[in-house]
Amino acid sequence: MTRFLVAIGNEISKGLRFAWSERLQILIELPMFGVFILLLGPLLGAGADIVGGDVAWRLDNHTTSVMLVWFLPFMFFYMQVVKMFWRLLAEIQTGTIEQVYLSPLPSWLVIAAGRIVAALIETIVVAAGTFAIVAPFTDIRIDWSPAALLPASMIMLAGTGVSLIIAGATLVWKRIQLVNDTVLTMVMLFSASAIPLIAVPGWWAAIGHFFPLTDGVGSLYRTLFTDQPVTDPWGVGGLVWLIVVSLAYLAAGIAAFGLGERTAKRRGTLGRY
Amino acid sequence: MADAIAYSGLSKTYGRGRDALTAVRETTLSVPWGQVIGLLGPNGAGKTTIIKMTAGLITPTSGTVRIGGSDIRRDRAEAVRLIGAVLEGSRNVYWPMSAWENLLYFGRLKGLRGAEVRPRARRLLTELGLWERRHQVVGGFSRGMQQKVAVAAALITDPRILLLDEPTLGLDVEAARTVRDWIARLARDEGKTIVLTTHQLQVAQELSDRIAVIREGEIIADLPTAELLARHAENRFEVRLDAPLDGLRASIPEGARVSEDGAETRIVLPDADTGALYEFLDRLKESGAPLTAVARAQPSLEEIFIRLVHDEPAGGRVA
Repeated sequence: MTRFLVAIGNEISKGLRFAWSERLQILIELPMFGVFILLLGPLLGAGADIVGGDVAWRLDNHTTSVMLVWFLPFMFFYMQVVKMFWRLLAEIQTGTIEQVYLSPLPSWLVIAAGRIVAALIETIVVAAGTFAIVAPFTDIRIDWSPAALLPASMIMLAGTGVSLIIAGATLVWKRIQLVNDTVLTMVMLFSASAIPLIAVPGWWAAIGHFFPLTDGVGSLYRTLFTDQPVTDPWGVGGLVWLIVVSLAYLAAGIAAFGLGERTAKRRGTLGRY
Repeated sequence: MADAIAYSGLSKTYGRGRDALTAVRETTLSVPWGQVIGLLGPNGAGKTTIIKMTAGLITPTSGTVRIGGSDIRRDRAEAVRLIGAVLEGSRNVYWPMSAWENLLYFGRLKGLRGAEVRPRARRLLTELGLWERRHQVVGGFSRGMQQKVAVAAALITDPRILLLDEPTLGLDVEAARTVRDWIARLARDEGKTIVLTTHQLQVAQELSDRIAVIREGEIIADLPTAELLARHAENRFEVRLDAPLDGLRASIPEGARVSEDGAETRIVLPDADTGALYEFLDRLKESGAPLTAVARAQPSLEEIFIRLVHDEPAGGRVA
């Protein structure tokens, strides 16, 4: 057990070491999310005003608060998937991944676990920065409740699952950046059905359940903005959808990573770009 | 006691159907503890595939690899604990990290605690002459220094088996010599089992107790180095002149091989008949040709290697 903890600590430390070496890039990325919220906020729900060419460029407290609850989980997804992909690809390109595979510890531990935790820590920094950028422009009102820990945990599990699927695919196909971008865009767009800011058709909302973030965001919205209990089983953000979809993505991620690893070893392409 | 490394019926085919490429064919070979084996072969012969299958980085199509008795696929953790590797065409270590950080990282990665890694890292970096620069990032080092860090990282857990795939490739003369001396020391003083691939046959001859020559995925010769050289030793004489042959051609015994390199001429007599040798030397004396050496002909490993990969193997174990 101690060896496992040492190994996870080792990977987290390496991940954060690389994050530090990418601090300029993170500093550039950090305001982007905040600026995106600030620019999108006045436009959401203002379709008629946009058509009439009469947009009031001001932020609504409630809308911005809900947007944050939509965006912060997406940022976690983004960081998990993007950081996992690029860092794994860098290790494949340089060949250091083969040395990592010479560890007696399980590969999911040394390849995935440490990177996931490192990305989580980076996300917290970026989320805090985003909050700090948006907060001065409007009064953010989110009624914190410990019940939010449940959807937050499920979002982390689903995000971990998706990043493992991407990692497994990266081990096999290497250059899948376009797939990543498409997946992330779809995840963001379909999760919009979980919050009452954008009107989406029924089929959109129905499909949205099968995307990893939708019910997590829905459950967070219920918990933080409505009186609905987190344990309500059905509907967008219902407990059943939340748990089933999140665990399914985690399981799919573990399976996909194992499959990708076995395929790369069989093809002899583990360290080949 | 199980051998350090044992391959049994090891084969690897990449791809399927018409595109299938067999890189390693039915290889069965054992390496005892403490032996240095040189795997030699032309590019694409299957050396790197064997090394990577040994490390569990490539899955064999058939056959098994056992490391200290543990199957690399079934008991991977036990097997890789015994292995350190410097792989060809790869950085092996993280360039954005310092030499010190790299050694700590790889030590912990392989299950050691910080307190166990630090004294080893200190010793290795000191012995490799990198201690003063331990906190500099590896990316800023010369190629030779980077390779030294890679060797140190492979040794950080003091593994009993070292897989060295082209460890001196791309190094300048001095750096190559340092790495070569280190390998020799590891084999001689620390009794490491070493699998070495290299295109520098002089290095292989110098370091290896045993040589296995691979051609198109097949081991075509596998013998102790001295025996391989002895089996291919020619019972012939070699005469060297510090002059072009010119007017002496008529004096050369029938069947002699002549090679000229600038002003130097090398004549290998067809057999070990000392009578013929004396007769030839008399003729040279009469002509006043500047004789520089007379010796029993001993082909270098390079010559033997070229003969083996281009012709049928002469003697020794034929796989």
